[in-house]
Amino acid sequence: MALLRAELRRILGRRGSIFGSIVFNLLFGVGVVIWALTSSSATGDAALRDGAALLQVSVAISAIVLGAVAGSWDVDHGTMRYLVLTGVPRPKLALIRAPALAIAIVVVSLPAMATVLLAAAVAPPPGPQGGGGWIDLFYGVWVAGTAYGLLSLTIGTFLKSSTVAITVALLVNLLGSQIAALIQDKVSHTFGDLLFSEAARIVIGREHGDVLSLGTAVVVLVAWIAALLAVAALRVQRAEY
Amino acid sequence: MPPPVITLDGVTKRFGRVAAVDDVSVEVPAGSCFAWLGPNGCGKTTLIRMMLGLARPTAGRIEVRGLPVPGRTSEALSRVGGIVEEPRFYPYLSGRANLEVFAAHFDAAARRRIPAALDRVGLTDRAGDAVKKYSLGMRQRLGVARALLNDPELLVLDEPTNGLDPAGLVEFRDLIRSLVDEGRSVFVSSHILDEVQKMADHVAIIQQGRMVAFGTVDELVSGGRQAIVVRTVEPERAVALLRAVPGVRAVAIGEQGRLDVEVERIGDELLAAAGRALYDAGLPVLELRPVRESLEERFLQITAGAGGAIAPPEEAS
Repeated sequence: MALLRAELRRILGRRGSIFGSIVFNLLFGVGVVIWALTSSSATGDAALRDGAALLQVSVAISAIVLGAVAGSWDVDHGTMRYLVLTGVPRPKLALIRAPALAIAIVVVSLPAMATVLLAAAVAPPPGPQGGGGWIDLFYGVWVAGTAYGLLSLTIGTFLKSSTVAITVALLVNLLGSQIAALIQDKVSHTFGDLLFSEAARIVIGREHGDVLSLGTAVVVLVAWIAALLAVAALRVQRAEY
Repeated sequence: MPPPVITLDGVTKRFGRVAAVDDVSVEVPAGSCFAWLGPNGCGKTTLIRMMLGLARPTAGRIEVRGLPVPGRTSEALSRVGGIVEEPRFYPYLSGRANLEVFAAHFDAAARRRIPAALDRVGLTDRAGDAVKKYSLGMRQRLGVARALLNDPELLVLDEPTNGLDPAGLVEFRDLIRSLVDEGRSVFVSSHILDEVQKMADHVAIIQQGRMVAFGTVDELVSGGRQAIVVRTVEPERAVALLRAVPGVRAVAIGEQGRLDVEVERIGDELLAAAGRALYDAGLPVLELRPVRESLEERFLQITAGAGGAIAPPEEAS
């Protein structure tokens, strides 16, 4: 727990990226509220689900940035060698970033989600509301944020500059779905469905893919994340600082 | 003799064809201040990185506190503190918060040591300030405070006096000596010879990745040219008299009639004999003193390939 608190303190202490992410998500949250209040098509749980989809984009983007920075900052700024010097096993130093990042993603998305939920409580969209929309909002936003954040964390672990890490992580996430679609078309539909971006899309949207069921997609995504974290741990174990 | 706190045996580190550290063997005595001396770019930091498990040697064996590195690195480092190249911190956190973050990686006692560590390096009053507001000297001191958090048996400090003002240098020297007096071992790398001479018990000189000399500071300095300076009213007469003194190798007249007397070994007996020879001949002695070379002069001789009587590394270790 002490290590987790320390890692969290490091991540949340980077106020530029944290406050930037909070404001970025909050702007999206306010946009969702305005859209829901002005759109005639926004009704009940569906309005919250649509809002969740929009917030997923902003939280995923901020998670990509936070993840890339969390993975690369210590090497970029020379503090990694002092963490290694503490004698804590290197894989542990790498892996502790994952839960800390997940908590940080919750922190930067909470104000925006609170804004949306508050607006929904004060001025509920017309139509039936069974609470499913609220669950979609939390589930979709946090699963998307965590999945894309952890992918970026691994990417950041391989790069020595936070700026480069952010750029590469954004590009990989942006191109990932395009590459998956291309592979599905040109190589193998099954193989394309097994890629990270496709599994993540199915799990986040709670959909059924052409090849993967939701349950299988969850297993594939968890396997991807485990593999990514193992690669990050191996990278930190092998690197010279 | 206590067991060595660091053992290097044929340690080599290559980057492609370049050997940054080349076949270095030395045993660093425990409970003393050991200085690793060499010009910038000679492989000091690379060696320290290997000792601390931050980089792997291409060949050779390293033991820290009797434990192999790599191999049992975590155990070896559990009572080792260090500064490598320069102290780096989280600039957006305060000095105290930085120490708390690093203390979390040790046992609970490490956190309790923070106030004492800050006090010891004179940063208590500024501990609440963000590190980005610290000068390089303050960061060096905070780096030492961080290195003390795990109550280290061994401190490895790479160029620790960089950025310190003259008063800070004196304080730092006192700090190092006090750490040694507590029974800790201190390994310092530096290119500032004067500081090393005042601070260290043992010195190794490294040049282009190879260790070219090793010994105590006195051994290194006394291994150079041995001479005394004599000034009398009649230098020409004094030359002949001094040449007859046992232990004198050569006498030459220098500037302002000063005699440069090269001897086998400077000692009180030889100084007394030289003075007596002149006095007995009725020559007033205006000046008679040994010429003591500084570590800097010896360093320049050694690194220029004129090692003199200094033991080669394999004998010294």
